[in-house]
Parts: sequence; C-alpha cells; structure tokens
Amino acid sequence: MPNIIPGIESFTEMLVWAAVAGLAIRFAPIGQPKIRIWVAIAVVLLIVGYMPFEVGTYRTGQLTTIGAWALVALGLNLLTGWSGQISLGHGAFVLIGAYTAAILGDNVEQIGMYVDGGQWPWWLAMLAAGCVSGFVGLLVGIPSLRLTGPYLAVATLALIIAAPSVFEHYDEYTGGRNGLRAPQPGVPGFLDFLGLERSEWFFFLAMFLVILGAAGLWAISNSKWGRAFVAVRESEVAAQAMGVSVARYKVFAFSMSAFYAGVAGALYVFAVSGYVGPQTIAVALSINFLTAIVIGGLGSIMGAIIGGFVVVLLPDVSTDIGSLFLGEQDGARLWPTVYGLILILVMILMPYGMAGFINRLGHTRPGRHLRSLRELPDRISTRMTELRERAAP
Amino acid sequence: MLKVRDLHAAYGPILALEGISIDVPEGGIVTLLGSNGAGKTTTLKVISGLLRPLSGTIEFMGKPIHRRSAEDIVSMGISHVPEGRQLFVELSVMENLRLGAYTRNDKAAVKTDLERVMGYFPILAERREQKAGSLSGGEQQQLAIARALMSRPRLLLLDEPSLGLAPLVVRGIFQIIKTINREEGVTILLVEQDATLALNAAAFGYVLETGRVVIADESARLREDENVRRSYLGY
Amino acid sequence: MDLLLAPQIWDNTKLFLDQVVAGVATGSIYGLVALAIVLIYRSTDVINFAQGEMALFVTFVGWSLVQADVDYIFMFILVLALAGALGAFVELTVIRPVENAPVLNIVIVTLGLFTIFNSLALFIWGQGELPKSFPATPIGGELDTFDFELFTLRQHRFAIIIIACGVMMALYFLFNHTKLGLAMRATAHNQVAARLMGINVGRMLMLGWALASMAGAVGGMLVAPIIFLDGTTMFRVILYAFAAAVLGGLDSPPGAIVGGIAIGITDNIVRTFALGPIFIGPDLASAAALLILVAVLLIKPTGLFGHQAVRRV
Repeated sequence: MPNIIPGIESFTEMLVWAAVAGLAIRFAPIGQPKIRIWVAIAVVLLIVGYMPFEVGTYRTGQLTTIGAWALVALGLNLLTGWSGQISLGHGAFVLIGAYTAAILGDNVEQIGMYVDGGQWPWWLAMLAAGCVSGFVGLLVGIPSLRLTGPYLAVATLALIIAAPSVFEHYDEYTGGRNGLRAPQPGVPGFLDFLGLERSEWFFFLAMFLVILGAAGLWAISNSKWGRAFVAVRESEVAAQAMGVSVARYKVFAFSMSAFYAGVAGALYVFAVSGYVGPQTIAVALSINFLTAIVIGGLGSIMGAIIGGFVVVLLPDVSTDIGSLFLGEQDGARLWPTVYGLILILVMILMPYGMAGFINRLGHTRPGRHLRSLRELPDRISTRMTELRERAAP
Repeated sequence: MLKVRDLHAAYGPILALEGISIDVPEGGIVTLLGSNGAGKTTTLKVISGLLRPLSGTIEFMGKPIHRRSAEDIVSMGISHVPEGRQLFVELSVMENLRLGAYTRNDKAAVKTDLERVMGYFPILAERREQKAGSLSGGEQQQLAIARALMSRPRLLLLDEPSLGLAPLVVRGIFQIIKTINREEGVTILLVEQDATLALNAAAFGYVLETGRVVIADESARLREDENVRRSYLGY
Repeated sequence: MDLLLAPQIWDNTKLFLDQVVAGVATGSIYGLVALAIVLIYRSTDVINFAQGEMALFVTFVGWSLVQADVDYIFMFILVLALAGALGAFVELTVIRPVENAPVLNIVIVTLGLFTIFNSLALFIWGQGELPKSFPATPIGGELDTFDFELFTLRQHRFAIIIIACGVMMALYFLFNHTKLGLAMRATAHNQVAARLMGINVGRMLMLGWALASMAGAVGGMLVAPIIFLDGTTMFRVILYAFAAAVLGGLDSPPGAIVGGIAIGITDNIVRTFALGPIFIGPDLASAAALLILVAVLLIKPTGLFGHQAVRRV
C-alpha cells in the first residue's frame, strides 16, 4: 500500500490523529451539531479503518482485540451504565461464548489430540455463542434480581472465579486444562476482490461487529426500553409505580449484555487467539471490563468503545509513561503502579469518565473556562483550608 | 448574642439566601417565618456550619463563626435540631443522648445532665435502651431536642419541631421549648411553618421571602400586621 | 447434600474434626480481612479492593524487619502502626477527593490502589527470591501440632484463633464501650447528624481506614507463614474475605468473622471430602464453595446479619 498521508504511519500517531480529528469536527464552530457528530464518527472510522494497512500484523491484532473487548464493554455498559447492575463476572460470559464457538465451529482440535468437533460455519457458531451466553445470562439474571450493589458484584465475581474450574472439569468437550484449538475462518469468498490478508480481515470483522453492536445499543437506549432502564436505575420503586416491570427489564439487560459478551468471546477465539482454555479470561481481565466502562464513561456508547481501548492499551501507555520517568527497566517493572495512578487520576479529574469529560468540553464556553482557570488558585486554597480544618483538631 | 449580616448562600448554582440579616438577643426566643423555599432552613444550616455562606458574616458572642466548621460551632455553644430530626436511628436512645454530649469532657456533669434532660422528657427514660428508630414521631422529636441540649448549648436552633406531629403532641413540645428557654436560659432561634404557634412562643419574628427578610418586628406587632395575617396566620 | 455426606463423615470423624478446626483457623484469617472490608464499607459504602494488597505491602515490611533481627512482637507492633498510618494516608490523599463521587468511581480508585500496592511490593521485595517465608507467632510454629483426643491442631492455627479473638474483643470494646467507638458508629450511620454533634467526620473516616488497614495487616501476618509471601499471597485471601463479608452482611462486623469461619470450614470440608470419600475432583471443589456462597445469598440477599437496605423513592 502506498503511504497516502505522509508522516502518519505509527500506531500511536494514527490513533491520536483519529481522536484529534474526531474531536475537532465534533466541536468545530460550523454546521449543525447533529451532523458534525456523524461526520466525526465517519472520519474516525475511516482513519481507524485505514490503520491495518499501515501498522503491521501485531498492531492490527491488537486492534482486533480492542474490538472484541469493546463489544464486551458495550454489553456491560447496557447492564451497568443503563440498568445500574454491577457485574464483575462478565468474563465468564465471554468464556462461555469462546468455548461454545470453539466447540461448535469447524475442525475442533484439542491441543495434542483430535476432538470430534462440530461442523458449523464460523458465523453460525458465533451467533450460537451469543445465544448460549445470553441464555446463561438469563439463568443468572433471574436469581440476581434479589441481589443489589456490592452483593451482586461479589456474586458475579464468584461466577468468573468458578467458571474456569467448571470448564476444566468437563474435559471431554472442553479439552480440560489444555483447552481447545479453534478454527480461524478464512477470508470469505465475496470479499476476495479486496485482496485482504487474514489479520486485516479479522480486523474488519471486529470493526463490523462493534459498529453493529453500537448501533444495537443505540437502538435499545433510544427505545422505550432504554428509558425504562434509566428509570429502573434511578429508582426501582418509582419505576414500578409508573408501571415498568422492573424484573423483566433487569433480566433482559442481563441476558442482552451476556449475548454481547458471548459474541465477543467467539470473536476473540476466531479472530484473535485461535485457542480457548480455562485461563483465557483471567479474573483480572473480567474486573478490567468494569474498570474500562467506568473510565470510558458509564451509560455512553462512546465510553464503551473507549473502554475497549483502555483494556488493551492502558498497560502499554503506563509502561511508556513509566519508562519516561523511571527509565526502561524500572518503567517496565513498575507499569502497574503507573496504571493504578492513572485510574485514580482519571476518577478524580473526570468523574463521568472520558466520554463524560468530552461531552462537558462541548458545554464549556472558552470564556467560562478561562474564568474557572483564574479561580483555580482560590478554589485550591479554600479546599486546602477545608481539608486542614477537618484534619486538624 | 447572634448577629447575622448580609448572608448569601447557594446550593450549587441556585441562590437560596440573598442577604439575610438577623439578630438574636441573649435569653430570648426568635422565630423565622416564611413559606417553603423562603430560606429559613438554609439560614439555620449556614449558622450551624452545615452549609458554607458565599458572603456575609455571622457573629456569635462577639466571635465570627461563618468560616468555622460545624464541629467547632457545636463546641462554641450552638446546637442545631435539624429538619427531619436526623437521629441515629440504629443506635439506642441513650447512645443518641451520649453523642449529644460528644464535645464535652466533664464526665460527671454529663451524667447529671442526662438525668436532668430525661426529667424534661420522661418518656425517653422509659425507652432508654430502645433504638431511636423505633420511637414514635413525637418521641423522636423529643429525643432530637434532648440530644441537642446535651451539649449544653447557649443557643438552640430548632427547625420545624411541629413537622408531621399531632396537634396535641405539638403543644406539649412547645411547652417544653418554653420551659427550657425559661429555666435553662437557652436562647432559641425557631423555624416554624405554623406561624400562630411560633408567634406565641417567640418575642420577636422575622418574615422571610425568597431569601430576603421582608418584615422584622415584635411578635405582638407581627400578629397585627395585615400582610402577615393574610399570608401566614390565615385570618 | 447433608444426607449424602453423613455416612462418610461418620467414618471419618477425626479427619472431619481436624478439618473443622483447621477451617476455623483459616476462616479466622478470612474473617479478619473481611472485618477490614466491613469497617470501610460501613462508613464509606465502598468495597475496598485494595485491602489485601495494603496488608501484603506491610507484611513485606514485616519480613524485612524480621530479616533485620527485630523481635517478632516488636515487629508485629511496628507493622500494625505502619498499617494504621498507611490506611489513614490513603483515606486522606486518595479517597477523600472522590468521597462524593458515584460509588463505582470509588471502587475503581480502590482497584487502582490494588495494582499500585501489588506492583510496589513486587518492585521492592521481588528482586530476591520469591516466595519468602514468614515466621509464625511465638505461640507456636506452623509445623508443630497440638494433639488432642478428638483432633490434631497445628500450633500456628491455634495462635491464629487466639489472635483473631483478641482483635475482635479489642474492636468490640472500642465500638461498644468507648466514646470514640460510639462516634465512629454514629459517623457510619449518619454523617450529617454526626457533624451536628461536633464529631469530626473526616477524622472518623480516616480512623476507620486506619483500623481496617490494621485488621487486614494482622490477617496478612498470620496467613504469610502458611502460604508464604509473594505477589499473589493475598489474592485468594481477599476473594474469600469478600465472600465472607458478603455472607455475614457487609454492615455487620461480627457477621464478617462468622462469615469467614463459615467459609473456612465449608471450603476445607468440601476440599477434603471432594478429594477423598466423595470424589468430585479438585477442580470443582473451589467452585462448590463459591456456589454455596451464592446459594446463601439468594436466600438472604444482604447476608446472614446484614440489614435490608431501605428502599427509597
């Protein structure tokens, strides 16, 4: 591929360009805001869509992973951001989807030995993965109605802790500890004319699914369902009084978000790893999904997609920042410290996540911004006096 | 004793007080009248330090207190019985009363005060081990006042002591308020929806409207005032 | 389940009792960390995910002190003091700026603290050999046993039970018989009212974090002799402590201890009998313990001793 835009070739640079271009168009002082949003989305998609041709196989694979996790984040955001239920165990639904896809898909191979696998085409296996996961989500969602807040969080955490050992136990289907090798679908015939490489094809598959998922979430959140979700989140009792069937909406949200997670699991197996084992989704990753949507922005589609980037790239960014300040070696060892500091800083500075921060940029007029900057020293000193007064006897 | 000058306060972007000035003389009962949202509760909150004023000054016994924290203000001798009582509903009556005396270190005196306060409110002595949340509305109001007295305040801020209570219970509580004022020498700043009751108890009253003082006069004269009668007394 | 287990247990009374007593000991450790979680949850409404890692960090400091030939008792006290200071520091610098933010934001902040303390501990102490061994209390070693008629008990497990009881009694005394403890409870129940009583709410929250951090540190120092010290030491402990706190009811300190012991016993028995008399395999054993937790939660959604949250419109 020729270098169309000179100077923009590296992964980070292109991502920054995409973000800058998107924000610039979104907040440009011309045209109608609604149209600007769509133009901004289109431009960002174009730049990101062009990236695989520039950044190499490894980075393209990373983008595909980002797509898979963005899909999980979209579903989880429906559950947590819209309907207000906390799940730390969505990794379990991803795992269910991944196993389903690997088992049903063509040519299943357990590492080391052959397991008689399903004969389903990959796209059907992917759909089935979503449905199986969604069904399990339904089964989990019904009893979860009784639990709230931290109790639900810990119960779902138990889910992802227990899930790997359950999969390991039924080893005749799952390959036990070794896991399964899954087929990686080739470029479909109708796309032959594009001459895509496999990694590029996987990327576009992921991008397509993310767009589809985002559109689905957009449709749900703008329907009467979406409004019902918000009503349930804000006050269950009030929602019930207005005639919203709280139980039905909460269970639907659970099941739907599990469906997203299942499809994402299938995508991960087919397009990223080509393998699934009990440790494919670690407990930490499952918790990271929740971190990602809070950092990205709860109740926001853009927030969920930013969340996908957060899961995959924040560790890299932390390592880079760490190396900058501490040198190569210590930076690499201390990246989790930097990562933790970033999480804390984002939560202090952007209480509604990055998406919330971006939206607020839109409502801020420059004049007011300047004034609030000028008031900053005052505000800090008031805050300090407050803190001192509270800390000192 | 309490001097409030040109007080401004806001909840976020919404201005609630737009320049309130009031005086409360030592040993007296002063009442703030006004409809919902006039700024009565906000005034009390700013005095007790729960809400920081935007501007204006508050002087208590000659010392400025508008920049002090709620904790400090209690130990200076102002006790606030807030709207909705804010009892520790999970704790026992005794524990609530002990918490009222939190700022004091004179153990023996606290003990005698406990007995004395329960003398005013005998029902609390009977219920001393019960959870505060299990008391009836009137009993809870009594506990809230008793708890506030436990810090030995010079000034008591009372926010709607009649709210949600039966008329008979209200009468009893106002009796006790007057007794406390007379026998203990506690100055009282009273916020009350029921203007008849408030003007009977208080010697002086302020009428608040949308964050400003519109009338300030002695209770007897307020009762005669045409506007006050029409708007707040209802005859 | 009971009916299935009964005949097996009958045949294995000694094994069963051994496991129960050992379960009480490990359960006490879960209970101590769960207690830490409950102390913070009551006042801040947040589950502190960093609880285990804060304990890990100070336990590593204790290891360094032991290497420097500091006497165990003295080391124990120093580590407790450090843990208290650390908890107060974290509350003041990191939690206070977000105290009015949505609960999930604070949860994410504690997750951030989790990675910070874990990686700092590994950075400082991970250069040498891992895992590091940590001494048992002077009461008795990890490998020595007390042999009784009905069961055998490792001496260190005995020490754990004694120390856990001590911690609980100290906290019980603090909360129920001191003015400070009463003020802390008042702050946990109603912060506005607490301020009106003249209680410095900020200081009480800081103190709550300090106490929690200390309880967690005791758990860390007691578990380290059993499973050694490395980056993952506290993972399992904190997960079981979450389970214990939730099982007992997040707002109930005694519930945390009861929950911890219940989980310790259940886990031990399920594990032992799943490998022995009733074979379900080692891989399902931990899942089984968790399933029991979820089952209890479904029957009692706010734990065994927790208060039903008031539904507000």
